[in-house]
Amino acid sequence: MNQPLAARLVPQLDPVHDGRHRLRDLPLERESIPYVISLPEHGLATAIYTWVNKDHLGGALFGVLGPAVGGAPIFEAVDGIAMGPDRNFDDWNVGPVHLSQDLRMQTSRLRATAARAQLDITFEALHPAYAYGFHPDGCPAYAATNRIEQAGRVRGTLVVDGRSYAIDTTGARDHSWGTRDWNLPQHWKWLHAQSDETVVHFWQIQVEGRIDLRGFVHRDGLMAEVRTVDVDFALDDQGRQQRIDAVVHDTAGRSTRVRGEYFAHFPVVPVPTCTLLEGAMRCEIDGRAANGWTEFMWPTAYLEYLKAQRATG
Amino acid sequence: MANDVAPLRHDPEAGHPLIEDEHGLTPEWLTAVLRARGRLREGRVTQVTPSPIGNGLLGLNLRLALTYDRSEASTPSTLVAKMASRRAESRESGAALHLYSRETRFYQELAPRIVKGLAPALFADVSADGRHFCLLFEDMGPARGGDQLAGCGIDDARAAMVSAAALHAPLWAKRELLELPWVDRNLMVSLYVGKMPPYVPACIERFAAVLEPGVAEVATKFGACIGRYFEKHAKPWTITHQDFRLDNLLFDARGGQVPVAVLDWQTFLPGPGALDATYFNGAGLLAPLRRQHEESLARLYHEELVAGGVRDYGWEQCWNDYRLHAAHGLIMGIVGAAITASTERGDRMLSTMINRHALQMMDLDTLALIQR
Repeated sequence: MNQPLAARLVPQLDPVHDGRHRLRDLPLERESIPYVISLPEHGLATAIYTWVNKDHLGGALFGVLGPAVGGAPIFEAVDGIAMGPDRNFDDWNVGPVHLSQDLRMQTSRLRATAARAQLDITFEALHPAYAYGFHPDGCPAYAATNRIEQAGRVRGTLVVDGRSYAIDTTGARDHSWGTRDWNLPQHWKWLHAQSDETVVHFWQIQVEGRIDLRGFVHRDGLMAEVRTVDVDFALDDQGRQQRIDAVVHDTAGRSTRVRGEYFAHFPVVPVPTCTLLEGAMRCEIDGRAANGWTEFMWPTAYLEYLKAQRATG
Repeated sequence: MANDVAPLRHDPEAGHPLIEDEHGLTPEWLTAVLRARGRLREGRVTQVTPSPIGNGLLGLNLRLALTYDRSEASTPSTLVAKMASRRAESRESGAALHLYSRETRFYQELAPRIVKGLAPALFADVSADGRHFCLLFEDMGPARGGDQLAGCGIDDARAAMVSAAALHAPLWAKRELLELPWVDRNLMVSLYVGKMPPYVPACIERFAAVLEPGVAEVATKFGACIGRYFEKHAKPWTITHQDFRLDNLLFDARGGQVPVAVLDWQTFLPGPGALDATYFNGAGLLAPLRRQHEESLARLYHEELVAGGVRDYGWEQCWNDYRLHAAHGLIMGIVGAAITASTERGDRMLSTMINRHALQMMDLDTLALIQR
């Protein structure tokens, strides 16, 4: 069960977890790091995602989406690349992605290349990473052994079809390691919204008939854990998120409102039975301009049914 | 960006699990902690030489001399570790009274909000059953310790008042932090109310030969109205040390960089801040010196609170609270006598406390305040 959360100082994780972990010899063990950056001013968004499993086989994807791309998202992905046990995330080169994290949970450089797009950015953390493992109920076992979430200042360039876009904004990353059972959850909403002043993150998961909730608000220099969220949202006829209005209540007694409208989507299918609908949004946090991203998870068959229902009115 | 004052927790994956005793203070464990805290970059701890500090009854305090495989600028040559007692019986007492978990959680959750006047904790964690804990501190030495029996001079008393205010101001009237589910103030209050009155006659008999005139009468009258005393604990409250006296303070710590460092937070409670100030002066100053400077010391405490951002707490209320809480020292002396075996030094300490605090109550007319 979810324990009632008291106000407390959010603990900080050993920065050694910025690096690679020794995974257990279990079927669903893997480690992954995504970065998501929303660029509504350019009509663009980009997601970079890399992973490695217990057998040291890695993968990566680089996606660029949004109206400025025109048509289908740019999408470059590889999987099953032998990475060996010793390569770390300070020099992680897999398929289209080259990631250099400082192994201190503070900065990183990220480069990615696809046929039509090239990305070269730096990430500078805006706050200490939030670790799910410190929640009184821990990190959900079906999600990972532990998981961190962190927003940062992102600077660099994104080139799409030869046109260069300067990036100077905020983005988010996470890092999880351990078992990921994609089939146990029935639905989730993962949200990151951030400005230079405020960062909001929650992951609300419907699983085994209950709702798990983790997250934090970092505002005025104080990080507090999410106690409850009230989420209103709308989907389009493809089941994609159109808008969201979330009021996040934290253990410091604060309520923070995130309102967003989506301008770019793309689906990720980690296993055939599970579809992640990624959505980049332009948003406000308590009325002030911010950037955001959400991921809505649906069982693929359910999502197909939902789309069919909406198609027939 | 990083908050470098929050201590690490147990994390086996990162090489620093919760250790149960001093055998866990290995070079590998210390290397992992120091690296995580940014105190060690490439090097490793190669040798740890522990030596005991003090004679803690419920806890084990060790100074750790460290050697490294290479020289780095920020590596500490010594650290201080505090852990559960080696003796099972003492560990059970520490767990039963929640002393280990209370002090650990103080360093995890409250100390980073206070910072000033505290030993920075690099690691702080406690086992789920509360029987084992480990606190790893920066060494606050060299420093000058206090001597409770000999008392202190006015300069140290002034420094203690400034220190008390610096501890109290950051959490002053912060309700969400003072209503801590893991601190049971009522448990301690009922312990004091239940233990003290029945022991007053025995205590008077035990120390009859050394009690100052009038002390027995004050103790008897206070024993009869201790419940009323606790009813008068008016808010605003803050985090109070409750045993803020010379034996728990280091002066000129870190070679003079820290004027006063406050140790031993096992018995802290949410409560009225003036209690710590009164208790220090009652315990640490001999009566003639205390009488001469008491009001100016209390004023200094109040001025420092105000300078630290405390509002809506005027001097009149502060002075009233100061006078009222002279009773706290008498409680500590009598309850201390009730729960500890008689030893020569222990008896001298306890009778000194009872005398000094009862005299302070007389000087400040504390009983009249309680009974009013």
